Amino acid sequence: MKFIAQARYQSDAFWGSDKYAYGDLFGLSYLPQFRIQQPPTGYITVDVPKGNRDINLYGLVDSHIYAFVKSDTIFYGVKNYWYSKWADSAVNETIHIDTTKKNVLFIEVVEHNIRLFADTNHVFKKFKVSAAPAPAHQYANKAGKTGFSGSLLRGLRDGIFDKAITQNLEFNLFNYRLFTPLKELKANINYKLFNRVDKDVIVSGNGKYLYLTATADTNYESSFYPIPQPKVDKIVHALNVVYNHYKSIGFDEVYFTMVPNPVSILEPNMGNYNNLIPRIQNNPALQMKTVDLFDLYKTTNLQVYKNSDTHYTNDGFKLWVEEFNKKLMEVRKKD
Amino acid sequence: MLVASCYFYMAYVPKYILILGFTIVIDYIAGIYIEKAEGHRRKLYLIISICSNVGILAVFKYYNFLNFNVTELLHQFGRHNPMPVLKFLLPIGLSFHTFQAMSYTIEVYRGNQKAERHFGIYALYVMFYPQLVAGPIERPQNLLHQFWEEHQFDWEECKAGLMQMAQGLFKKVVIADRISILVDHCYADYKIQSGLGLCIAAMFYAFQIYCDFSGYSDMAIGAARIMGFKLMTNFTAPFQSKNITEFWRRWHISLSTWFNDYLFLPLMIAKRDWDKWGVVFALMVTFLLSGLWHGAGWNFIIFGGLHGLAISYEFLSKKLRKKTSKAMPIALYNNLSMVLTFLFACFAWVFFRSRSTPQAFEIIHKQFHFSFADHLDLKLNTAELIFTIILIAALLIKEKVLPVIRTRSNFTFFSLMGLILFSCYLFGVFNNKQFIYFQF
Repeated sequence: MKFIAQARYQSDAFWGSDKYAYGDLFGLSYLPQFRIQQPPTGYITVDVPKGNRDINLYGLVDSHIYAFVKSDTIFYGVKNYWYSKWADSAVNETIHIDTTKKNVLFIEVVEHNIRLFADTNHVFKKFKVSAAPAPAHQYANKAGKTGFSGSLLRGLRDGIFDKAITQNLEFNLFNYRLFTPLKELKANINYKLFNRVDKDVIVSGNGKYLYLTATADTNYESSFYPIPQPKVDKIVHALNVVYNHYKSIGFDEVYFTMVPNPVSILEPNMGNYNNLIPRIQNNPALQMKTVDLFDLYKTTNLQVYKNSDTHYTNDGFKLWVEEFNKKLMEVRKKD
Repeated sequence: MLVASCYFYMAYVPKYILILGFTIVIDYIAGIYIEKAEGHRRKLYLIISICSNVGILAVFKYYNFLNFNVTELLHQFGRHNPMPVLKFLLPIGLSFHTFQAMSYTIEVYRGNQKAERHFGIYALYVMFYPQLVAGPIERPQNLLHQFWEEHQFDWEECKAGLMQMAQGLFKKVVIADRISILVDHCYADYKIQSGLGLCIAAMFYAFQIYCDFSGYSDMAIGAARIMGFKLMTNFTAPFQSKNITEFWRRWHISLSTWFNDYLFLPLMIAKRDWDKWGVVFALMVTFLLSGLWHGAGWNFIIFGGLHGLAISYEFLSKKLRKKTSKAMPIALYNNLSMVLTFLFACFAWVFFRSRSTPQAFEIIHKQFHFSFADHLDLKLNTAELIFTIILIAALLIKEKVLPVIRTRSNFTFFSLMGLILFSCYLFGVFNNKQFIYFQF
């Protein structure tokens, strides 16, 4: 069931689905005004200064990076690029780094997940590093190992009693391209008559953007959830622990990027913005090096967020790459 | 069908099948031994069976409640409670299949049912998937023999079953889950809600819980009917009840008859020397336990107790009420009775819906101080509120005028079915809202 669903997600044929074709938030809301054709993700041109490519770059990332990075040539001086996904619970291997080379680690997280960093063990469990010499094949595997783990029995159990089975069944029964007009009709009735959209989505004040509800309501992950200073200090402390841990293992530098929730940039007055990113970045105790997207996005005239998707646009991504390349240049200058 | 039922149950928490398997084995063996034994031994085997069932319920459903109360009590005397808090999910439908299993051994004990020798058939009786997680709570005399019978495909029965399922689905996704938006919002923010808002939420909750639970029952009964099985009716237009006694004859019938057969009547007979107070005693014990069956919390016990008090009052005031009914036009009396019964049910459901007893009291306090000038924040806009009221009115009228939709011609069946399913899709609220009674 899962495999059929995955195949159909990617298909452009009539038996495919529009769930992600017009942005992940369109796939939740089906509001016709947000059926916006999405340009191919991550295809950008970056002026990368020429020079030696001798940096081994490691990333602990989510879809903002792994879905957007199409080639490691966009990074300055990077010879090998390897990443691990936050969401992959199956990733449970130890990464070997060659301490005779230049190693840089970057960690990317979206604003509504920052508080995961209050638990440093969570990070260390996700990204185990050994300074022992790397096996020959290490860098060939750019996507990390995400394959089958556990016993056959566990595999069978997970297969038969898959928690996502209802979602996959529903998807394979009802989520066909030909149903899209019907879904749009329903979404329109709910929106125009009952002033209601899907519970996971909020329409922006100007009606031009969709926000993920979790980021824009008043709950824990939201930009408007009040966070007292001791909690921010705790996150900063945890980030320092993470920073010092990976530095002590053998990384030349560790960078941290927080991708702001779209509502934090576009509509911070929708509620009382908790200013989580500025409060972390400007905290005097913070040792972790950051790649600041918040100020960059606040000041740019470019459209950095997609209208019907949780992710940034290619322009938003390009801003991050350019900013990050400046940091990589600094690493080189330290030589 | 047993394999399908096992899969259905294991889709929630697979390992809980072991708990269910344990009670099935105990009751299966107990049934055979009860039938074979004579005298005191029969009773002993019945007690073993009941203790194992109640024991499972006590551990999984009531232990933490009891533990919490012991802690509070010891705290009053400055003592510490050494009993640990258990952390696990309540097995789905535990109260339902436990009661169904108990009805089997009790009926075998009473000689109304032969002990089932075929283990698979007995296991299926407990695990029959349409009604495994939220009833109707069946009796062995009604269900067991059906598993032995050959079921030929019957298109007319199939149509009736599908139609009942579709109606259940409509009640759940179009009405109950729409109302839940309003009710959940009001109860979540009850501290800032106005008294009027909470009164409206309480009344809407009556229809939410009805459409949610009777919707599930319709789907369960309909699914079984498609396969040729007849399950007992669980609801018969409860909002037409003119008193609480009648309400319980129309509401969750499989549970109320269970309590009637296995608790109320034996208690009443045991206390027949107490005359009418014996009946009141039996009523109160029955309804307090019925409240506890619903959930491990004082709010559920109060919910049951309120219904017990109401029925006791009705029992004791029969003559007075008869006199009153003669003093006014019958239509007025009936309608007034219906409204009062409904309002009482709504009041008692405040305890049922609240997360705790203090919350319930706070809500009731606000409700009793409501004003028609109160500000309303119901989460549904005016159009949707009117739409919801129309849906409820249509449901009540349909139940009065056309309790069962018969579709003899295939054309009518497919047209109506298409219309209901299309409406479910177009107007359904799909917010992954679990059935309310799944928690029991």
